[in-house]
Amino acid sequence: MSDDRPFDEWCRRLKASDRAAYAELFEAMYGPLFRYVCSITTAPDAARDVTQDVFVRLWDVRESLSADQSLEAYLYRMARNRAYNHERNRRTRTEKEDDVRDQTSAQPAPPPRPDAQAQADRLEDRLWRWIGELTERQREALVLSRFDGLSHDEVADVMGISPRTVNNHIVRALKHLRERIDAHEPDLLTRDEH
Amino acid sequence: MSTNPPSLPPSLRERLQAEPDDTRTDLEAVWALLEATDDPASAGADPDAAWTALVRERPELDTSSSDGAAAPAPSQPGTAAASRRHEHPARTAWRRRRGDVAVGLALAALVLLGGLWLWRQPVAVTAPAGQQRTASLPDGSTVDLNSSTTLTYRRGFSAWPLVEADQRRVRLEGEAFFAVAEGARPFTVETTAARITVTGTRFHVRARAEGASSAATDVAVVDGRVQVAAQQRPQETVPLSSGHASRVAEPTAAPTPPQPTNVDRVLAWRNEGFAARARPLRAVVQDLERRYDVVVRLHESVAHPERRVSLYYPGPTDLETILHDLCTARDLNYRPTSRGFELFNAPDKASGAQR
Repeated sequence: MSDDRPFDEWCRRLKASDRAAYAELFEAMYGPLFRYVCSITTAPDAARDVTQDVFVRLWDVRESLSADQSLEAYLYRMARNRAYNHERNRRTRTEKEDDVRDQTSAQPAPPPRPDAQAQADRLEDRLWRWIGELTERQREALVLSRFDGLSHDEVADVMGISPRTVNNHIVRALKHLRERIDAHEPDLLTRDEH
Repeated sequence: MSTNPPSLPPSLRERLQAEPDDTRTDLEAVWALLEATDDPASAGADPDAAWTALVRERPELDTSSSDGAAAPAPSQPGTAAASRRHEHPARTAWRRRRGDVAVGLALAALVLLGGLWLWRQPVAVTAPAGQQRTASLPDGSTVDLNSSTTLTYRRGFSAWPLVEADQRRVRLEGEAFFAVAEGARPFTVETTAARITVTGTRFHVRARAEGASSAATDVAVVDGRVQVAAQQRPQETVPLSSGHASRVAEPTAAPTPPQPTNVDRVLAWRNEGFAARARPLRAVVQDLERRYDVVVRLHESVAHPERRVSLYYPGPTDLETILHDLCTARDLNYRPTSRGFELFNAPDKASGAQR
């Protein structure tokens, strides 16, 4: 993905409280950040809140932005922290509720997650369901690298792991997807076999 | 062999060299396949709506307004629409036939009446559950509202624009502390059951529906003197002086005679504390719900929910401290629920210790 987004310039103008630069940055980065947050929270509603929160926070800290570090990676890091916080809180809540449910009495099990049972007809939907089966880290590395076009060093920076580990996550993710595709859509992987 | 998809990042391409050939081509093909794929979840991404929401939260970010000032909030669509309606026909009506003039005048009168009607709407100040707030009244009096309380009064304490009402009258649903400024006009607090009249003093009023007994009103005076009467029997007033309390059980019941009371306890809520004096457990739980904006359920295993309890926390206190003490006193347990807590009776200590 060739990058014509002038992050350095945005960063400089943001530090000077340039609202037009902020609007440009929002325009360019809302979609990618939202998709990335979706890969962690899986709930679009929560992702909307988290993404908005990232941008609000960015405006609050604009004067202390550092020109030396990548603004793009910084945005992803903020999004990541907030998304994981949100997930952690949600899980704690659910566990508490489960706890109470266990104590009070047996209640009917929750209905199966809709995405598990949905009969997706489009290849895209199926691919994304399979991506949803990856571990969090694998999915995150894959999404950042493949869809958000971050370099391996940037992905490593955002996720706080080494570039080698990023590679391993991505390879494992690709292998999982290959298995799924082989099982369901063997024709998709065109092999140049003689 | 297929050529490497150009989009493959260099370090990933290097890493794939470690894999067997056919695995590598397969993985490259998966990578390429993802190219044309977009997350259906990100179809939920709507940058325009998100920007609107963002600007609503941070009006200073609105680049469409030239000076950066917040766009005028659409708080009173009624009045805005009314004034537009007023201008437009008034300007064009004069150029047309006389019939149009009449229409214009009628519209203007309508707008005037509408404005007057809007002006006559009482001003309401509300403290939602879990919050408290202080309201300043037009005469300089202040009112501290406890959680889940609404205070309403005539704009400016006036009967009509520029015409003062003969009383400073407020209506209270909930619980509040009044510090009334001295003034020639009497200050009256109306509740469902009672009417309290003063000239300048500080006192506490509680008017809350509780279970079957609807909206008894309790009054306690800190400084000065007030007159308390039932709504339906305004002639039979009971004078209350500082440190004394009275109760009006319903609109037709005479107020109880003055009784000495501990005003610090009654007003613990103003210091973020909490107090209940010989009140039924069920009512105390309702107070906690309002105060902390949570749901506190009494499990059916709790015996005697009407039995009375007393609690007093003079300063800031969190809910779990109170629940803990309450449960200790009544030999109960509590547990968190999705929206708050539930009190229940632990059948025996052994099962309680398991958790």
